[in-house]
Amino acid sequence: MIVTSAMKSINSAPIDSQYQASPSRLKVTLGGHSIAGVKKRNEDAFAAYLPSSEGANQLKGITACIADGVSCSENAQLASQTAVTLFVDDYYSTPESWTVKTSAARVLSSLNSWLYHHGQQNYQPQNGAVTTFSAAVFKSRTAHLFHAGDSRIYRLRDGTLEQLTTDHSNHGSGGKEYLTRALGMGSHLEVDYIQTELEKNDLFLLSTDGVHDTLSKNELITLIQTPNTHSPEGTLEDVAEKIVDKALAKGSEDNLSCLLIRIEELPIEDINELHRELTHKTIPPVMEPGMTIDNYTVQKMLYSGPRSHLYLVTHPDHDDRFALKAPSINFSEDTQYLEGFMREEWVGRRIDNKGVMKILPKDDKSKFLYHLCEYIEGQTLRQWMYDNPQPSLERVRAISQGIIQSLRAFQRLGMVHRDLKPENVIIDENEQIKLIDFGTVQVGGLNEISSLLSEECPVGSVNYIAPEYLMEQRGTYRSDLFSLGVIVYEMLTGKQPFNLSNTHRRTPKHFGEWQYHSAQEYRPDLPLWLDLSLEKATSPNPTSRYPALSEFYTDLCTPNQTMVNKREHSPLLERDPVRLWKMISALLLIIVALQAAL
Amino acid sequence: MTAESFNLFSFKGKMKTLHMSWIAFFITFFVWFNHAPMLQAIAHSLGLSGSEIKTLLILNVALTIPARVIIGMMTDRFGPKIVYSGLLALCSIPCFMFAMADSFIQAALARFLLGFIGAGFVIGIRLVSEWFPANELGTAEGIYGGWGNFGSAAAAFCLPALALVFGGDDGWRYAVGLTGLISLLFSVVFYNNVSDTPKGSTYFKPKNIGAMEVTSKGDFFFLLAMKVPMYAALALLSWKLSPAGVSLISETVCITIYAGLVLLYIYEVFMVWKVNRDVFVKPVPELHQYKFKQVAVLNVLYFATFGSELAVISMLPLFFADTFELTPVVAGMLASAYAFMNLMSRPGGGWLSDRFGRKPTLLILTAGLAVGYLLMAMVDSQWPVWVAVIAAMACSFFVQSGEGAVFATVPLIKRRLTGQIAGMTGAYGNVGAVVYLTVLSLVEYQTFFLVIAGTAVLGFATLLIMEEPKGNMAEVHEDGSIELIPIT
Repeated sequence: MIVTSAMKSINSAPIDSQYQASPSRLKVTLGGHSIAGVKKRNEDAFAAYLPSSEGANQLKGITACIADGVSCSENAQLASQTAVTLFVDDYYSTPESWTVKTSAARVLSSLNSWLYHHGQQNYQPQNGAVTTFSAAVFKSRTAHLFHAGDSRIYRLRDGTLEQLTTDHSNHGSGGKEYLTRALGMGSHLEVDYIQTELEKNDLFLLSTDGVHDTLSKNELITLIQTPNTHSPEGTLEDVAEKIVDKALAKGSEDNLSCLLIRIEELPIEDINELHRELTHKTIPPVMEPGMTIDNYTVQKMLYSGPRSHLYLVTHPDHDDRFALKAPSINFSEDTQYLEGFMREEWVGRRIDNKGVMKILPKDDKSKFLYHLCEYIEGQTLRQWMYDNPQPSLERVRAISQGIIQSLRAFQRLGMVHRDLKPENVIIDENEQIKLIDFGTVQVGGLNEISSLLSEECPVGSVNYIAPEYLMEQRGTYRSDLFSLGVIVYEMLTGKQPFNLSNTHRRTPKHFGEWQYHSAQEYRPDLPLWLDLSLEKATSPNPTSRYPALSEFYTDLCTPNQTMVNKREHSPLLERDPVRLWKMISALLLIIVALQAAL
Repeated sequence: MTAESFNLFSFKGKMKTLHMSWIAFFITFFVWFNHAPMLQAIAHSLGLSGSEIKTLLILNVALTIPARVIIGMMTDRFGPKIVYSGLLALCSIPCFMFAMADSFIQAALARFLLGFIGAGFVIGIRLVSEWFPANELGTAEGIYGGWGNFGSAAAAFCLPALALVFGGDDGWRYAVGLTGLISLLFSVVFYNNVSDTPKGSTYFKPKNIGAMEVTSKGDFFFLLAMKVPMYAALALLSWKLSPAGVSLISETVCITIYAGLVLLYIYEVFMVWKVNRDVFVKPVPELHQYKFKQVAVLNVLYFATFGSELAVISMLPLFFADTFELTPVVAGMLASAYAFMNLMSRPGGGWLSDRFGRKPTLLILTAGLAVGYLLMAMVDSQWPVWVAVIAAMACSFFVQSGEGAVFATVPLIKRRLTGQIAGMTGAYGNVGAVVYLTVLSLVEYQTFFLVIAGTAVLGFATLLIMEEPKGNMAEVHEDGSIELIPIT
């Protein structure tokens, strides 16, 4: 009889820094119990993990899962145990920037394949490693539920017990139930995914059929709500034991398991407290060469603008030079900006790619708000464009490839840069591309941490922002592709593909407001196929863009004959609407003139 | 990669924007006060009475009050480049109208429409703020405001002489027409040389253009009360134009204007409520709270400083000419001494308040202002002219440093609302001008100066309730290291 310990102590987060120093975080208590009952073996298993670090609590959340091995097989016990332990272990090994859904989906799909193939190796189909699986991940103010099979997740709120999952089973002949979905059943797995908002004092009950087939909802409520006679301050483990014992007494013929989680405290709710958190570090005043801050001496001002200041600094203990980035005092009360600034450090510390600027660890006790970054000697792509007004395709391709490689680093971590522009691309001495400025990076895993702040205006830069942001849709990596397309277009022609001067004062109503100007208008020497690939990359509607960055790069290098053929055979209205209307107008003019003459 | 430095002799990037902006603002002031130094000639050729001249002076600043609001909204919608170019081009029309006016009515209408050009200030402030980092913004806006204001001095200095060069009774017409032509030509230069934002600039939070934000219930009503003087100033003007005053408009028209103003005020109350209704439902987060009384004090101070400056530069050439029986050219040149101080005083006021704290600086400057105007009130024909000029210059130093100090304080009240606070404060400057010029039309020069001195004393009193705004919490030590100052 196997019961996985209710508290695991693994420490998987590589950098254990918090995203925000929240004074309050999600707090839960939990307890579970599992027995074999009248059966010989206990094929149920459950596991839960309360991360010991603030960071993992905030970013990955608290997990609880239960599994019921399908008892026709030898492997039932193995399957349920493996499922719960591996799920918890692997879930905390996924990148912190991933969403709960992405992380859990990846873990479950590899878990499923492992169980399926393990079962297959026995050459006896009935002997597969199959198990039901129900998991709850509590992150920020949301419970994410993953479910396959007939184990269940209930929620007790305000005296009502609600079953949140749906059983995946069919009534077979002879009153027997057959599972329609379970882990390890097939090579392909469908898992129900449910999100539900948490409230304080919610109680979640995960149970296997040995419990919930025997006890009615009302019995469960009574068992949970009546205080123990022997210990009124009973822990949830006592309650779980009571439930299991009661079900057994009532004649349950299966293994019996249940796991209880009570939400004791939800993360930060008071906006004043959040504001204090965001503003507790002081924005350093604008510094001049020779000034020192936390022992870093300013050598040179690298950039000074309305949003931030960048300095070249040195430290007596290091030989390297660093870049120090401080926010502008203009934003001392702009919580959206401050949150972005803090997120920038979080992002920069996590991406380890030669195409992305590194943000280095610094003294966490500093009273000032700034980042310490690697110092990149080079020029911005904007400067490069000024210096190379008519670049060869070869060089443009090399730079595009560099940007694409850097963007992939973001994409792999579930991040979208959102503010890609020539000013944020640095070309260093070795022609290596480096992306900078992560203040507006969208991180899947962070978006799930419910914030009391919302983005009040589109992030990104005029002319480079993807249209979907302005139309208030969420961005994807395709939004970065749009910005990249505009940059490549600009490198080649020195012009913008769209003529929208006023979008930062007025919200465009539809994608039709973006009218692509052929790059050949400005550089007739460019081949048509290249122009078409730029048009596709900068297509206003994200669904019409390239589905992958690599496809765009391929089309930048080799003519895409399909697109060229399509264009050459398309009606004039699509190919060159302006010319068509000019021709029609000219025709009308002639007719009118003729009529007047006659 | 090296940061672009603040080099006044550079004409690239942000410095180019600054230069284009202050020149544009300079021209608006040049046009706006092109009549002041030539009032005698104008009065002579159009056959105007003394009270009609003073009416022209008031009309000149009247439309600016509502125009500021309209221009502010248009800048939000269309951007500084188009709006500034458009304003310069369009306002050349009433300027030409004035140059060709044959009667008091025509001149009055032209002057009234020219009030629009006085609203140019807000456009440049917006433009400059998008190009300069926070630490250079004060200086940049000081240069913009100070050098731009100098336009009125330039007008006083050179237009009478120019009129003489053209010669004859119509000399002033050519001089005025020329200012219109400059405005028209520069609108093209401005349009071709300025862009709204630096390349690759980011999006800004949509500004709440409907009404100003307040953060408590009490401040809600305080704000509504502080809106009244703006309407009262316009009502005062209509009364002045009605049969009770100079009879430029009929009784019916006057009553219609009153009714219109009441309706507008009701609309404004509604807008203020719409933007601020949340304060009645739930408290505003602490980080976003501020005290409206701080804004009210700055409004009163700007009423006394900028309001009196606009009023005085309108009448000073005439005052000198009348009092000391000077030729228009000499009177104009002497009077320009007042606005001449702008080059130094306005940025100087900002510098002083950085150095000695906002409240002490404002207290001293306001006291100086009161004394200065008292001195002006005592000027009579017995005084040597040069002493009178020095009195005017001393007075203008306090006035313009006061303006600089007021605007150095504005961003510290509530950074997020800087634009709105600056807008309302600026509007009070115009209200001051209308009020003072109306006073001038009713009383003698001496009383006029005494009234200004009186409001300065009032400003001094209100200053006492202002709290020193919290500045930077970090301090740079002698050795160049930066440390935090504990706030108690």
